[in-house]
Amino acid sequence: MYAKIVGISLLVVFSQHFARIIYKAGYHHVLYNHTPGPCHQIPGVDHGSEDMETLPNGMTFITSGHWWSVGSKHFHNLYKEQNRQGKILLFNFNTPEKGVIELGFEDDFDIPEFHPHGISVIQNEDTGKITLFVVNHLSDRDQIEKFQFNEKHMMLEHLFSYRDEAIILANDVAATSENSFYFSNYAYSRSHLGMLFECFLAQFPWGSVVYFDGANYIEAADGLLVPNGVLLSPDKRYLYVANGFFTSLSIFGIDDDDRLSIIQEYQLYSSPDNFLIEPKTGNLLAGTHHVLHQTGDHLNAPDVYNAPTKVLMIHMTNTSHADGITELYSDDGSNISAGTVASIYDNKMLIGSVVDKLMYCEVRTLE
Amino acid sequence: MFGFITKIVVLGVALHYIIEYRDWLEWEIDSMLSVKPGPCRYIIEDGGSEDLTYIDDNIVLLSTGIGSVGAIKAYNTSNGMVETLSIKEAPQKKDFLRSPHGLSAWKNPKTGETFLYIITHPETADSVEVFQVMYSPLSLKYIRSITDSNFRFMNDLVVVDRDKFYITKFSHYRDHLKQQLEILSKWKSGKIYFYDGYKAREVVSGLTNPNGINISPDKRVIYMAEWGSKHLVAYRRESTNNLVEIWNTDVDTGIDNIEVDSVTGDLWIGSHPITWRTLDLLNLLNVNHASQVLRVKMVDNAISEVEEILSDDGDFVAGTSAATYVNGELIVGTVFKQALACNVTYLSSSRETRGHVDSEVLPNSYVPK
Repeated sequence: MYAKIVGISLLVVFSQHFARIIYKAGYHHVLYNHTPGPCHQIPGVDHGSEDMETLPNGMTFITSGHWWSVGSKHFHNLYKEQNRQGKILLFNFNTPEKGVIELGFEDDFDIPEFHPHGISVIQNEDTGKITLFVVNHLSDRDQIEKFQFNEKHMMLEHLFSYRDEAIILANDVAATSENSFYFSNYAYSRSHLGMLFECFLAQFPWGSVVYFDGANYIEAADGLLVPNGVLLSPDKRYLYVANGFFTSLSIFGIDDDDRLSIIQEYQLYSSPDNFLIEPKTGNLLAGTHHVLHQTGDHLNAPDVYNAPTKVLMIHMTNTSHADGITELYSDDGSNISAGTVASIYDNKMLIGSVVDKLMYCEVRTLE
Repeated sequence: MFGFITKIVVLGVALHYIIEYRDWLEWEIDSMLSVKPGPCRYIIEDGGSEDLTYIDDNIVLLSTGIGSVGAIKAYNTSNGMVETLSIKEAPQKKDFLRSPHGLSAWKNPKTGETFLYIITHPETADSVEVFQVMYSPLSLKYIRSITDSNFRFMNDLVVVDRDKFYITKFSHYRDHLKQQLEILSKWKSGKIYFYDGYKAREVVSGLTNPNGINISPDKRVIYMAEWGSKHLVAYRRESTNNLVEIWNTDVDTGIDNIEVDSVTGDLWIGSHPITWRTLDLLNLLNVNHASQVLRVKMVDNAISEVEEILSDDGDFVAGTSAATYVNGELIVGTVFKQALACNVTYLSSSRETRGHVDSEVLPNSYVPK
């Protein structure tokens, strides 16, 4: 009698858990295409443009050649066979016809492996010095690299590698100064099957956001399920975190002790990757993965599967409140697969992807 | 043992239908993303325009006032003005032009005369009213009323010759409450009839709430929006005027009326993306009807790409049922609330663009590194 009750209850719990997984995978989603203006793939970018950041003068730094450390065997083999490499590219919105330039490194660049992921660019208001923080995936650990941009030689000088056991499976970084930053850990398991089990099957919330204040690593927010991109608000008082599993924008307030408290959880109905600020309005731009099972297939085998891309503009009433979403771009994957980020400069938009192309569009539908 | 298996199987089948029904209602969607092709303005604010069609010379005819005072209006794209058309020689019937619904315009190739056919819902039985479009000044002259014993609750029609048309039967019941229940039961009572000038005969049956119907520019293919199943269906027209299904796609949204671009063959469809809000039995929930306009690019009468041109949660525009693209403007009609004209700042080319790049933006020759 009691065994039956327990048995049926467990069955119901597991059934609704699996039903939720199937809905999250997005098999029922239908995608329509939508372009805000004529679009063009930037040549020379075939191995992704996962994250980017644009300075007020139109210079955009883009990370490319994403190496997914917990990816599938097919992905790892493809990466080696096609000799994909981690790079940092530079694009200038004022000279789009010049496309992207691959930035070289100064002679003292001695990191054993360079596979960049998230990026944060900070420019010193007084000296104009440009500092880049980049998440780097080595085969046995993750670390965060700091570079200085030498504009005269179009090169990056490597300044420092941040290593610590607090950097688990890093995704994105958001610099608060030239020596302090927030970064997101999206999961805990370092194997492909382990990550799939942890994140999608069991849904253990083992992701977190950590703060490095110049000396120590402090856990700022934990209990997150696949946090993805992190971005500091323009007034530096809030941190925008992409909630990958729950398809939402999490707006955290930064407390005096640098820890984060949740202010608003805004539902996007599409899994966001990275955020950027649209300079004229202060609205957030997000690259989102609308059909997660297709994104998964694409990341396992990018040469075989396409995945849809959406770019959403989230209306911010002020830096801490989101209200309203406009869709700027939607593609079923035949033009750009698994888009992750979008940057708008003077009504022109650059869309980046995990391991696919880089797209440049005119945005004619912004009023 | 068998009892247990039977119970599990019955439970499984029931769950399947429950989940399918929930998906059909789009119950899990809370709000729609906003998509606009450019700046939009209201051209009608005091009511809807369930169907519309472009009849050349910058004139779009709109069927307005379903559920209230029926009228046929004209929107002039060259000056942005809307006027209600006067009807000459209108019959003195009490119920004339009650609840105007789907319409279709047809031009006689020999005489150049344009006729407007419009479905209306008088109290006792549906009636198709036929008018001739008169110019200078723009007005309508009543010709005749067409009724048939087969006409129950009809939705839209497409005219292929003088007094010959295909017409969709949306539901069997004409009473509002009974119709809502009929829709919720998903009874496949929908049909397409062909009216040959004298009587209507059934050409397609077993449909779930067929809604809009229109014809390809080469007059060989009939497109039908099956609102209840969210399918877009294409039929080949035979010499006998019978219809044979060629293809059937799930568009996952409640498509309403279809307008066909006479040059490119693009389909412009007004749609109801969130079913449970549109159904709103007895107006109990008092929610906004969500809106969507799709543009379906056709190559050789087959779908090459589906674009979403407009999308709204219902605050700006509610219950979109028809749309057409004329002279750089998107004209949108809704069932009860408003009609819009939007400036389309960019429209991608009608030729298939999947996987191609539009090289307007950057010149072809430049150095990537």
